[in-house]
Amino acid sequence: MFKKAIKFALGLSVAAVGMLMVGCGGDVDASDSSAGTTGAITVFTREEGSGTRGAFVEIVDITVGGNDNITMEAVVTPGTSVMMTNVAGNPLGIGYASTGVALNDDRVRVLSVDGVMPTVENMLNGTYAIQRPFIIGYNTAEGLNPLAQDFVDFIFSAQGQEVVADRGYVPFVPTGAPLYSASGLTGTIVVNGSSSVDSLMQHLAAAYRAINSNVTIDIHGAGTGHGISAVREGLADIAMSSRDLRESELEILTPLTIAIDGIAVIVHPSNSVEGLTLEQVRDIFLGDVMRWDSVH
Amino acid sequence: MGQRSLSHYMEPAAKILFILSASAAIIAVGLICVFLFMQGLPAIWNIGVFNFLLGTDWRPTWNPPLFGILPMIVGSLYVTAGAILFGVPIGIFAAAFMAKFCPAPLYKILKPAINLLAGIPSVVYGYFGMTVLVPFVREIFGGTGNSILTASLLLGMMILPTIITISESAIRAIPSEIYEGAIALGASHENATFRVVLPAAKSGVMASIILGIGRAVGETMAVRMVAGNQAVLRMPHEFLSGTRTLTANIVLELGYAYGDHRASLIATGVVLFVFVMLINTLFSLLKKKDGV
Repeated sequence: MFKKAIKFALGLSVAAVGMLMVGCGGDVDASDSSAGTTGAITVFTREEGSGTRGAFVEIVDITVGGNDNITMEAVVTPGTSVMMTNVAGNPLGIGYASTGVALNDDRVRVLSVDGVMPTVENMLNGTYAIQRPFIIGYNTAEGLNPLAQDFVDFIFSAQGQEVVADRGYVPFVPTGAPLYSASGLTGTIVVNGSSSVDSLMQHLAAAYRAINSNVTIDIHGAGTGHGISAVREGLADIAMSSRDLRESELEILTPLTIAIDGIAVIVHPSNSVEGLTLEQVRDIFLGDVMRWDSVH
Repeated sequence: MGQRSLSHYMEPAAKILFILSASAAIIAVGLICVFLFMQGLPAIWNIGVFNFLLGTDWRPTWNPPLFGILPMIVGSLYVTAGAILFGVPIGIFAAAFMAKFCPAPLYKILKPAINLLAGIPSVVYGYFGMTVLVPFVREIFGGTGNSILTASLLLGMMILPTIITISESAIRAIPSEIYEGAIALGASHENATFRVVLPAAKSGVMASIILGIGRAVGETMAVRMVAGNQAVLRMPHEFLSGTRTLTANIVLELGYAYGDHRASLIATGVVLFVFVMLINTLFSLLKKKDGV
């Protein structure tokens, strides 16, 4: 009887593993590019209040009566990394993410919008439509402490702006930025805010720490709104925002633009669609166009 | 004499220490209650109890905003029910197997494996769900893969250790006379286990299920990574569509929310708190009834 039960259990697990393998293997079949991608579009969006979503909705004009009207059927992904993993895993998915992140991640493919790819060049000359500023902000009343000021000086130096360009963003001070030299300061800088800016900030911090090894930089990519509250409440020195600051926020924070970022429209690498018009992007995210067949 | 007086003081001192430690938990619960209700109830009042609990539209950033959480209440119920559907039968059979059928060498592997399952952080379950279960459900059943079904499967997996561990000890706690009596009356081993011992362990098994439900209702991180998080009211047959749970609603937007939006998320927490209180009350009623 024991043996029978064990055999049964083993049989079950073999069957389950087998089904899982079939399930994963199926991914490849769905990505037959010669036939062209067909089927229902799975729309992925960021959560309400995300800086990336706010900027994307505003620039692409996915609104009705001034209100964000991304289709309620869109899968809501918390954070940039979850967005990337979801689109990378769904052959019929479409989503959006910061170009600096999307262009450096070969698990997804970046689409052209109105025939223009979101390269640094195309963002500088303004032909790529979906672009926005990356902003850092500090408490106007309290100002920056000397250490945080030194880090900000670094961001706007030749070395800092080189990091910006290396990561696929558009430097805000393209030429003639001053050269930065080590300050010899010690201490901790707390940075909090947009999960889109977070990725760039990590690289800036690493470059800064290569010069000033006695400084610790704590970076939390908790979201634009979160970072702004943190600076307001004195919990962080610098806030990161992936959209322009609102009027109520400008009363407390002084904004500095550190880079220009595009928002890339991303799909699974197997998708046969190469590009969309801004109009098509809008229709897909409004939920008016629901099948890939309709956008070939 | 000196030593005696020292122990004379030690005794009450220790007593106070223990009382303080015990009340720490009560104080924590009390503070959470006060905080939640003070911040949440006015929001529910402002939005309107019916608009809040029975509203089907969640558009917090709209002007004017809409704060209806019915889709999330229903979403929480669906994924919890789904988790019970998958987790409870497997959990109870596994517990019966481990208590009554399992050969000792296999038990040595099984028991630590289940303990390990209980120790896996929920974000790891979430990542597993996102990279394995979501494509699996999409390929086998269709839809986007980020669905009620996926969340139910994942939650069913996550409540297994709770159900197995508590049910197993409940089955083991049944006096062997009951089992032996059944055998003496001519029942087979299987019959004695499933028709005599398992029913006798009913209250412990029920307790394990209720604790499992508690875990499923409160689970946040893993669910929000696989459930799709659409704040849309779903019907039961739409189990391949995504849903948003109460917990996911709070954690998705709390980082950004301010003003009324923030208050309405805390009010969502009040509803969740009432849910969990109901489950716990059910649990203690059940315990009282059976005198366990």
